[in-house]
Amino acid sequence: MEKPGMILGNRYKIMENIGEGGMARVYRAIDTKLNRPVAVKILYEQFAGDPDFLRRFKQEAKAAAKLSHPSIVNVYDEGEEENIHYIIMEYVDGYTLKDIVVRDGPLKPEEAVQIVLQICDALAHAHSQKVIHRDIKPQNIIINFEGRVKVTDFGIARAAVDATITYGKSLMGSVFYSSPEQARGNAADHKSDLYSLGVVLYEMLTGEVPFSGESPISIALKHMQEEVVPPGRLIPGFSHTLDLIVTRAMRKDPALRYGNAIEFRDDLEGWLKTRENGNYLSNSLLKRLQSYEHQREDTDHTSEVQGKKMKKRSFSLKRFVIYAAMLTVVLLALIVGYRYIGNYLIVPEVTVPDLVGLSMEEVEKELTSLGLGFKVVRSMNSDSIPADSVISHDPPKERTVRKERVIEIVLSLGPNLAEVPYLIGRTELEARLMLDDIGLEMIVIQEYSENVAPGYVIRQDPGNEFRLTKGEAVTLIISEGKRPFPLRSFTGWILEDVKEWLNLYGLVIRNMEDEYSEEFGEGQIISQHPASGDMVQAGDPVDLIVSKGREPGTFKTYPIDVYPQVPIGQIIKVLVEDEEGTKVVFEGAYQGSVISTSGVGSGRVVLMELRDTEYYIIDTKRFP
Amino acid sequence: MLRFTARTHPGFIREKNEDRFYVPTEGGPYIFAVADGMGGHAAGEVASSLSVKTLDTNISMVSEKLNHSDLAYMQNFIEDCILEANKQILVVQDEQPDLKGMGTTFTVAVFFNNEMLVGHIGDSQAYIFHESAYSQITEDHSLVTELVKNGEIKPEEVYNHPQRHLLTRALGTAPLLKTDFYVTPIQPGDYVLLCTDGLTTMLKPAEIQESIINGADLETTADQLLKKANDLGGSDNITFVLIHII
Repeated sequence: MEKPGMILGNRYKIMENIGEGGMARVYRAIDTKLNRPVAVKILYEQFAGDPDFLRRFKQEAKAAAKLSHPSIVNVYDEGEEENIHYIIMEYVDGYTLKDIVVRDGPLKPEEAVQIVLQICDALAHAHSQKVIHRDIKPQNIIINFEGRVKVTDFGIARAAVDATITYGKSLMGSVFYSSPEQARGNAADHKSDLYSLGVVLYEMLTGEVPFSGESPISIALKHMQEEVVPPGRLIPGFSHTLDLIVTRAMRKDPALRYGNAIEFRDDLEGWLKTRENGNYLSNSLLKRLQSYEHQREDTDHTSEVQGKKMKKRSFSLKRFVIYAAMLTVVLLALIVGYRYIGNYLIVPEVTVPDLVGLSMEEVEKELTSLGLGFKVVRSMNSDSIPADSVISHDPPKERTVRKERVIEIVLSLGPNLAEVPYLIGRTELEARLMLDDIGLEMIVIQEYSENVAPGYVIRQDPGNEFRLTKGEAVTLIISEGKRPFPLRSFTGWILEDVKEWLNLYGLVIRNMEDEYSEEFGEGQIISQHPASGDMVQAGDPVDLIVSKGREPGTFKTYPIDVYPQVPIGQIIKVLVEDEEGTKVVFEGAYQGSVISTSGVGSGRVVLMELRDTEYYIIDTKRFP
Repeated sequence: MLRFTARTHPGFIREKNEDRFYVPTEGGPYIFAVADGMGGHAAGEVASSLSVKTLDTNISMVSEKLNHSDLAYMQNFIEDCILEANKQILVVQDEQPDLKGMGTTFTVAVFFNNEMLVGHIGDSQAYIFHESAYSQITEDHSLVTELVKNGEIKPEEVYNHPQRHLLTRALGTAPLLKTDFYVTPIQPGDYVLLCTDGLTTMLKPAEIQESIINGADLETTADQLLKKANDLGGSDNITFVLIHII
């Protein structure tokens, strides 16, 4: 293992440890050739043994070394020596953004934006060189004492991800800044960096990451599923424009995010300008933001209000088409009718063929050859007749009509389809009502869930926006709460340990009673309810009886042996006077053997002998 | 009564075998376990063998007194073993920085007359196979399992998911750990399989069931399962214990 004082590559003298990362230790070092400070990143031993990993690590280091930008920490060199693999980088004297946020809490919006502007520049440069950072987080952003922002560790995350494939398992790490697509396991691209940067900006503005939770899993799922609370909802008087910029950077769908770092940067810069000139918003910025909102409206199908608006619009359009069609029909009828009456008496008759199930093309062909006309009078859903085919017609088949008669046709719109709604997070009852409403059935499968409350929909098949024929079923997986498990025994445990354990398993203490115990010391568990082995679910209450030690005032019982110094056959009486009072333990003729009894707490034993008709005390002994 | 056999093999891609298993000694209580270590270099096998060794030591220490017919008692015993192994792995990591980040899965089964108790942490698995049906008893503590449960990915996407190796729970990663316990009824004729994911990433449960049903005897079946998993690539260490209830 490397140590301060060691010289790497005949050139870099290690000075002191300045940090630990997921893959490497970081040291401050001196480049003795150029006499300047540098940072050395030394790979942990467990990675150094794997040639595949080293190859990727070097590859990423090389890609990062191509980058040259004032806001990117420069990579100067890489090398190895006695199985120590290292990267030499620019030494930046300053604080990481994490340090700053932890220390000062939220930043002023103007400050935060100025920092992100520089990061945008860094990303724009890297992305233009086809280098994706993949792990933008405050720990990787350093601000030096001149206020210059420096982004470090470009591409390193990729080598680390690949490492888990080589090495097999690893524990899931922190995902506060990962984009939904990365959390889901899809490839990261330049838009993933923009998302993460959006999260960084969010944290600077509010002092908190947008999604937090008990476990990396719950955080990852929130990145995928939960809408972010805009900073404006947390901070009174927050700029609406900045709200829109932050939430746009953090859209779940990469297509709705900024197209690139420069667009993100331009909006932030535009906003900053308005701050310097009071609250005036630049026209172009305002317009662009409005267009974002429109874009969102047009693509966001989950918004119920919007869905209704869209429907209304298409409904009125349909009505217009119908009116237009009706008007045309009337005009045509006037023209045709004139000719029809004129020819009425002289046209021959034909038999109407069976048109049901035929397509309009076939209908046209068939009827034209017979000299009949046709028109579509109605369209409706049908489960048996495919779309654009004839459901029925009037006059029906085999009816004899005069030539040139117009056959009225009812056309199929195909099966009656219903769009499956988004049901996840609804209760079983709500889901049933929603499906009833649109004529769909449901199949319920119960499943234990650690995250979803009992009775709520965990997932659905098919998903929303899928179209089903009415009467078909949507399968809903409904939570039946957390999985039951047998409770363990806590007898003899210390209360503090039990509390920690219960907390981990999601159980809560309901009643706790103190009892005196001879067997268990103070703070130890005497008994529990439910008993050990009983099935419980997270959220269930547990009652505990805790020892408060031995009861004060309870006395120990001492064995007492009495050896009366009297002749055998002498009538004697033995009394024990103790905390419980006085009791006679022996009365009668002495048999010559020991008299065994006991006393409680403390007191004395009295031996008496009978003289004539009265007992006289001949001996007393105190105990204990 | 039951019969059992076990196999462990490094597979053809990994340099080392970081899997370990435990089966009863002659006349010992019916306790079985598999463990799949994680962490670079030699760290993974340190963690998995520490956990199996702890189980072994604790069983032999209290073997006589082990109240083997009392399910609640055995649950306490198993959980205490797991917590002790966890503590030991953490201590070793503290003492040897190059083993930092090591951990292990641990799946252990205890057999009673009509039921079986499974204690479980990580993504090794316990299955029960009947004549015509099978079920996975344990739920993996992995990112992909959560993604499937939440409808983010489809079950069939698990096999090629780039993050399928990410665990959400493992021994050696936190001072106090939650062990999942399952109680499952068993009857003569059933087979129980404890295995590391090296077997199940190569063979689907239905294929395993087929081998079991058609196997001439326990040993042949086990040989076949190992061979099949290796023939299909053997991309990970393969370890399993196969138990036949008779």
